[in-house]
Amino acid sequence: MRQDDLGAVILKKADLASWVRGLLGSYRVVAPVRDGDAPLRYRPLAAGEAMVLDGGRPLRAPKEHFIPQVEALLAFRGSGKALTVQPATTGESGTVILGVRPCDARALGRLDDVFLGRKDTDTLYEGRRKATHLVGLACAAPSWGCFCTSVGGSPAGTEGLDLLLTDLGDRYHVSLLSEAGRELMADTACEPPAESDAAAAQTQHAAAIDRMPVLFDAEAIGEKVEWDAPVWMRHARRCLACGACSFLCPTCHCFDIQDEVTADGGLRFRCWDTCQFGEFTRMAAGHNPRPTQVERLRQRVSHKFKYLVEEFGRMGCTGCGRCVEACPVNIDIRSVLCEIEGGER
Amino acid sequence: MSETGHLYVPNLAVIDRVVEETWDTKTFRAVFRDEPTRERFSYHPGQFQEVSVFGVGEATFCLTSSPTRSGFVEFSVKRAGAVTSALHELSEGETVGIRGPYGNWFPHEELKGKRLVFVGGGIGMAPLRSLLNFCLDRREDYGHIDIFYGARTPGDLCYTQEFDAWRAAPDTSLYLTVDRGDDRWTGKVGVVPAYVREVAPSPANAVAITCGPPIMIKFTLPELTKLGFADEQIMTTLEMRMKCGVGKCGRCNIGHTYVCLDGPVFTYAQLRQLPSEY
Repeated sequence: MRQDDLGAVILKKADLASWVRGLLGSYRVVAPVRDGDAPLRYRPLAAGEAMVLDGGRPLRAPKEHFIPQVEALLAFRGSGKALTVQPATTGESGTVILGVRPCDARALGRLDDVFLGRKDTDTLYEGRRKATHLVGLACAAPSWGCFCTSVGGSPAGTEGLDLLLTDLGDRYHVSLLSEAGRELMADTACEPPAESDAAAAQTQHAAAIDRMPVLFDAEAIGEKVEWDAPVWMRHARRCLACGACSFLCPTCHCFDIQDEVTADGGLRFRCWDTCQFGEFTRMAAGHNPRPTQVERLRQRVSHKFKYLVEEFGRMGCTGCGRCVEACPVNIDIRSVLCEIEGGER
Repeated sequence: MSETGHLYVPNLAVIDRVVEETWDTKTFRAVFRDEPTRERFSYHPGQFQEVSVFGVGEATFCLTSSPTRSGFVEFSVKRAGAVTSALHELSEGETVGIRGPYGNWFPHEELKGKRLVFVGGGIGMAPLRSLLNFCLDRREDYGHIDIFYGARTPGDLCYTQEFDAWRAAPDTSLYLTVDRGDDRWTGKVGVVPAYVREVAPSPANAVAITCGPPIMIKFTLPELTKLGFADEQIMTTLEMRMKCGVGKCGRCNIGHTYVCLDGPVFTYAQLRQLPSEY
């Protein structure tokens, strides 16, 4: 875990609402919100609206604020020589996302590899990424599917965050992790942490880590992945190709581009897609290099633990556990990885 | 990339010529609407572009024109899906979107001074035509050129209007063949790999460039190998489903290699290093 270079402060829960109110004066604030019976979801907060920081890990990662599920790329009007195209712009105002899980913040670094790297920059992504500050929340009680410690993360990890909050009951211990983070706290009533506060935060972090024993040696997976191993069939035979694993994954980023016709023209948009869908790689003439779920599971696991490591030196999984918990047929990527790492074919 | 806007904004281009190559394939010539794009859009043989029909969608097509013939781009479209069918409906004067050029290309600089053996099948001739016409326009830069081109029937051969020019080019041989002839076909009948074996082009200082249906590639590679072509002397261009063309949409990877960025042109030696998933 990184040391708090810029120190830490204490934010009393009684002052939380006024802090958020202050942020709302300068930023769009996105936070976990409960709408009726729907699962907690990161969405823009209206003034005076309550967020839920103690409701567990939201169903979806905040990735949708960087790669929206559906995003217009351009609008077109007219036809023939009169056809015109209006490109979409981000026009993003400064945003603060509150209650970001360390695994999800870390995942954004993986998305950066793809959208800011690999030759050309995706400026739509870049605009949102640069305009956004991330306020993390350490996981005191990891969920049953969580395995961040097995992929080099921590329930109190700080990678990619500007601030990290640790819930100490009536107060938050706030680690200042960047200049931007310090500025977010500048105008609010904070006090320096007592020694007991820092100790309590560390104790909590250690307890959360203890709840997630390391299950496998993730670094070794890339070398041990076998192309024709029965492990793929063993797990993929149950797969329904619903795509929940990818859509909830904070690092999955594949998308489709489609057109939609409207009354006076149309829109070109991109939308989430997944290698788990049969159509994903099927060519117009019918050939499909990944014809069944076996090849598709192999692609998903190999991409995260082998191909991305070969390409960028870091794996495409931060152990958030959403795919484990959401899979309707209990395909558990942890089991797949344990079997691969253990040499079970 | 277009001059303004993000990665996915196409340049607008007007179709100014449509050639009906076969019953299911047309070649479109398009001219960019604005002068700066016409000037800026430079490419190499083997590269590809994303072509869109607004309201229907985008699809990937290789550039089949040669950059030596400037002012326009050409792409050949075999009718297969939604976008290709919509393109077939277009006539001169209509507007399409074009993003690109993308991907790597046939190493035409490295190929200088070498003998070239083109082996194409069906619509697979499209990317080869770009390099072929490039080399023919700079004929003195390259050695002897053999062109093997086959299709299922005479009616499935594309670029027939150019056969005379290819035959007439200096130090160039054209070997046409079809799987099944018809009443008017007086040429060779048989598959491409067999014709390659029969003519037996020498591998000395030569490079073979092949593109066609998987079955043709599968049987052509061993023939070239038997003739003495090393894996490094055989090049091909891969077709994969793509959407973005710029390494973001995650669709065209083979292992850690992205066909849109690292390809579409590969030597057979490179392909042997990749998982066999294409």
